[in-house]
Amino acid sequence: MSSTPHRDRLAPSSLPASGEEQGSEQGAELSGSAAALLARVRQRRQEEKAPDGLRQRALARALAEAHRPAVLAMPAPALVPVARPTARALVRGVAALALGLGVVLGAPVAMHEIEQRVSPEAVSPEVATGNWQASGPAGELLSKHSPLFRLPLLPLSEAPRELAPSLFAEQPFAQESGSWQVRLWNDPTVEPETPAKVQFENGALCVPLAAGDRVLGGWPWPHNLASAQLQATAPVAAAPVAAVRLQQGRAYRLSFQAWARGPLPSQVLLGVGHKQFPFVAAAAARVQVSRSPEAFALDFVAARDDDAAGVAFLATNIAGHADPTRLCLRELRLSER
Amino acid sequence: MRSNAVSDWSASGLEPELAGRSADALDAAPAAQGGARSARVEQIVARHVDAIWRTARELGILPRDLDDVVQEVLVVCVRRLSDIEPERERAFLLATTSRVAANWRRTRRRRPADPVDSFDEIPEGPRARGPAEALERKRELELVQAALDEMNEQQREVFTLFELEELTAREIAEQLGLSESVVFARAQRARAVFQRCLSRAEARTDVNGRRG
Repeated sequence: MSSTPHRDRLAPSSLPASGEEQGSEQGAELSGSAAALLARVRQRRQEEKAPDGLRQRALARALAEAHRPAVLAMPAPALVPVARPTARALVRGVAALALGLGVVLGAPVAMHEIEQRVSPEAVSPEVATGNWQASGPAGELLSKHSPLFRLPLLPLSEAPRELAPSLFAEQPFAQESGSWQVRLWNDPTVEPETPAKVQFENGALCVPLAAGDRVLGGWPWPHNLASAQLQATAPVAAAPVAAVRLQQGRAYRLSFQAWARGPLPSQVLLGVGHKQFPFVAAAAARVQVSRSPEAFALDFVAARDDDAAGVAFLATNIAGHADPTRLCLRELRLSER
Repeated sequence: MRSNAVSDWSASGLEPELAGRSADALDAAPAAQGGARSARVEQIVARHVDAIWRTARELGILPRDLDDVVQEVLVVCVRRLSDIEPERERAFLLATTSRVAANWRRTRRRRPADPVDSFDEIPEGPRARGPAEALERKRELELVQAALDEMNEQQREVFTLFELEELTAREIAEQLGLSESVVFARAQRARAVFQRCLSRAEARTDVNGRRG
């Protein structure tokens, strides 16, 4: 502990001449009585001890944190919002279709012209020998010479909407469903037991998040976590529901819509995983929600078989928003790709 | 009951410091390190919990919230234990206290602590030798608290760390991500506020004394 007199530690001569907060007020020098008062208060403060109870609780919490096992999960990739089909997208689709038709119909002509124009030495051996692949000479040549075939892949935002049926036996987090829960999980060292408030808005589940709140939602919610108290207070009664079967190596897409009302939540994680708590995720992603409903898609390949998979989300409002936020989710679908 | 889910989900985003490390690297951490880690945590709590508690209180945290704030500071410290050099523990902890207290005030919309309540809750302070001294001490503490309340958040932070906890300007600058000149400037302004409060109090005392 330094015992340097404060007067020496803040001598005006030690102040640089410039700075964003160069003192506009004069009077950095304390009067004798002020300095003496400060010294007395400082001395008394150094002798003050935190209450024993606080000290013990702080030590217990720090040690618990130190002993907390560090289990890793795959870092969640950020999701890209999938734009809703719009008139612009429709026009683009029609244009692409027309262009595609034009290419296909015009391919024999183009092929003929190309064969006429390309000099023999510029033609690859395959072309020269007529050793075409299954796509035929027109396709091969077009792939080599036409910029149409070197266009980048369509980004996810332009991907077609899911057409495959959802693998979920019911709409997760639907108002009429009795097999899900959303619980407050402000103390992550214990299992969540307190039901969180939920609301429904145009078919969406909306979860208000006060400052400092963290909630965990799960569908289906495991029965071993449904305490009697919870069942008495939960918005819906727990009921069994068929979970989803994931097969190793198969590709899936989880799609959903999400948004927030009020300040944006600090973090929203959403994933597919085993339905039993703690919902070990087969795939999880950080969802960057905005204030308007957006569609998201999470593509993944199941790393292992799972006969009882569900969907879960974790949302936090810990970034210091004093005003409550409200996270909304709807239209969760899981389909094979 | 502890929950594995904490780790599963938290590792997906709540603990960025874990992200990027391979599972092997973490598995390979010898158990002996766990013991050394615990010992260091115990040492840190024993050495610094009083200063954390005092600083949080001076930064406007109400007595009923001091428990939570102190624990939050220590949790941050434990999570970043490997990054904290032993000789900078105190500065790190007090700067973290300042940040946690600022967040706490913002999220909970706390008003500055009531001067009497906050200092009346001192449980193990030095005892006054008589009623007159006790009264004088109380008056002085109220005066300091009034000055702290009059400062803005930045001045209050620097005044508490610089004047009351006696961190150096360099330590404060490093921990709060400021330049030393900014720290000096804020300390200077905070002193001006403190001096002004004291002068007002002295003037009132003179007036009352003359009237009395």
